[in-house]
Amino acid sequence: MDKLKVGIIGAGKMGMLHAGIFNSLENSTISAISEKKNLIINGLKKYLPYVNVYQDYEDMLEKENLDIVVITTPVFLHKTMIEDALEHNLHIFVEKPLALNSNECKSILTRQRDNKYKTMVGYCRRFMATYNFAKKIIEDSLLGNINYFQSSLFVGQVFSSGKGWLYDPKLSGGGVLMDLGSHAIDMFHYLFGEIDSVHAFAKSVYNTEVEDYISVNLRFKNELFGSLQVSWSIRNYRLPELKIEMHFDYGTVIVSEKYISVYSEKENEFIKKGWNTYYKQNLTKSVPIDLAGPEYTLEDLHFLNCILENKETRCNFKEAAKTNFVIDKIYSSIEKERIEKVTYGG
Amino acid sequence: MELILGHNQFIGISHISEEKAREREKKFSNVENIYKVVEKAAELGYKGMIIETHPRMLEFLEYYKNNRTFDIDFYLQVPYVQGYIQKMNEKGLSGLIRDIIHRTGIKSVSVMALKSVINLAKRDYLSMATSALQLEIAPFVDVDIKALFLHNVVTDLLLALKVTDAFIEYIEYVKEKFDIEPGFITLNFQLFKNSFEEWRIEPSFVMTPVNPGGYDMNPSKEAVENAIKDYKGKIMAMNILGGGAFSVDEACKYLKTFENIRYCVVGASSEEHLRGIVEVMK
Repeated sequence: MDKLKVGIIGAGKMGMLHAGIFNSLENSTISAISEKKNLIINGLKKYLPYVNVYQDYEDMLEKENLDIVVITTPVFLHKTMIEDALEHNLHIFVEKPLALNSNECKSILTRQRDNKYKTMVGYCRRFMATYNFAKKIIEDSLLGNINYFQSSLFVGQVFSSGKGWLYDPKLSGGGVLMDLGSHAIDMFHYLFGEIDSVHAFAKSVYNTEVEDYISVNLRFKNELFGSLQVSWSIRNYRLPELKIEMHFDYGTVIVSEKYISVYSEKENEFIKKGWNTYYKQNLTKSVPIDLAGPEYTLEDLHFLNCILENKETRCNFKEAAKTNFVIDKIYSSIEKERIEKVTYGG
Repeated sequence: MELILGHNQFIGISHISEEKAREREKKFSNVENIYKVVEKAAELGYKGMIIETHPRMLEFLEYYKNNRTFDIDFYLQVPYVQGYIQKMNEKGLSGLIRDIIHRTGIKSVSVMALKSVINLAKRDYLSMATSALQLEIAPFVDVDIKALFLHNVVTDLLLALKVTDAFIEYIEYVKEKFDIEPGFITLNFQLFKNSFEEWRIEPSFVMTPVNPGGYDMNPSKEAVENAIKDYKGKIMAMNILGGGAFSVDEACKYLKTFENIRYCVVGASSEEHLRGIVEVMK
């Protein structure tokens, strides 16, 4: 079988990460990269002579015979690029979040006609072993029903006004809720299902245009409820940490990127009575190539497998758009100072 | 086997929990506490330590130079990735580049327009990269650096994208300009070994995870074991305890099955822990 040919739009940190991974996997290869900045273009041409480099992504889509396009540009560019890629009948991977807001997501979803072409959004925590263990506990009711949760997603990154598109809401869609919080909202969809309503508060301290701290209460359609705190201005958090503490009929689960601790009142096939702690080191298998964590490789492998086996991906555009729909309602709750119903674009 | 003290525990990194990392972060925010652990390590027979240009480690280095009650070799890890990411976040890519060039002391840069700085960088990536390297090495001029290890984030991306020239340039530059042994950190040891063979580059000093759980041993534990067994270069084992997920006994027993692993990094943060490892490794 010929390798699937991948084109990257946007040679930043995430673009180069996916380029490296797709270039090393058995079933894919990097054929082209498009990038706006001359500084980076010259470097790509010098050091990656086997890759065709473009300054204009439309040129790349037109001239290259690609199978897959990977979009890793600032969020405000996603919608147009996705819609252009859909016209070219390509499988599309986009870094999170899908787009700036609900309206852009709706537009993308209506343009997507043929589900032969796979779509995926890079919510990488869906591929971390610890969260997948939590998902199994919920789905198989290993501790009974889940009743309540509390969660936080913190990193110590912003202590002065940030520079770049991330801190301009017209280009990013929002502040820390959009950038980091979207990972948490997506994880809630993955673990708990759809959200019924939200109520939130936010505060800007270091940035003027976007929020630095946000606190959200969420109620789910299955009557579960809980809270989420998100900030990029919490000192001594070197890496983003999404910690969720879940309370079940017969126990408690605390899960983060690095470990999952389970307290169970009952003994069952998977969990001993009392406290059990599993580290990602115990739960994670080797991957063909590891560039910044096995989850990125697993994510890209999953995408390739779905293309080759004509299956739906774990986080396609429709699934990822849900996060944008919820985020818009959270911002609206802050603005209108009231509880907002989530309608998922309906 | 030479024991080398790791440094993650001193700068708030833990591979198993962020809470644990923050606890240690408190303890080691006073560099005197780092000094005490390193001093004890040297006394117990640890030959060297890993270090990078994290602000805390530079502070420790100053403290070490001023007190110096013991001798220890340094294995410097470059670049200080987190620092560059932070700076890029504050100043953008061009701001970061201007900062590097500025700090290397090219006087004209401070009055140059941003555009000319970028043009300078565009013409010559190698000199940009070497300027950044020089800056990182500068604080270490009067101590003994045994090897300069390229961070796995950089090594592995360059491997994945098959940037042969960057490896050749790095090796030549570090040997000739600094007279230090070049080294590489990788989480993909089999790919590293195979690529170097294919590109006909002499096997270099390499630091890579080796642990009984096979964690970070890619593409598989078995593949890495086989690659290690017939590797001709020097190997330093890291992640041997998986940050604490595997026991010291188990890890040491496993390491001893490899005849050609001559160095091993251990991230201990107390005398008891340092001593425990020495006992088992005997």
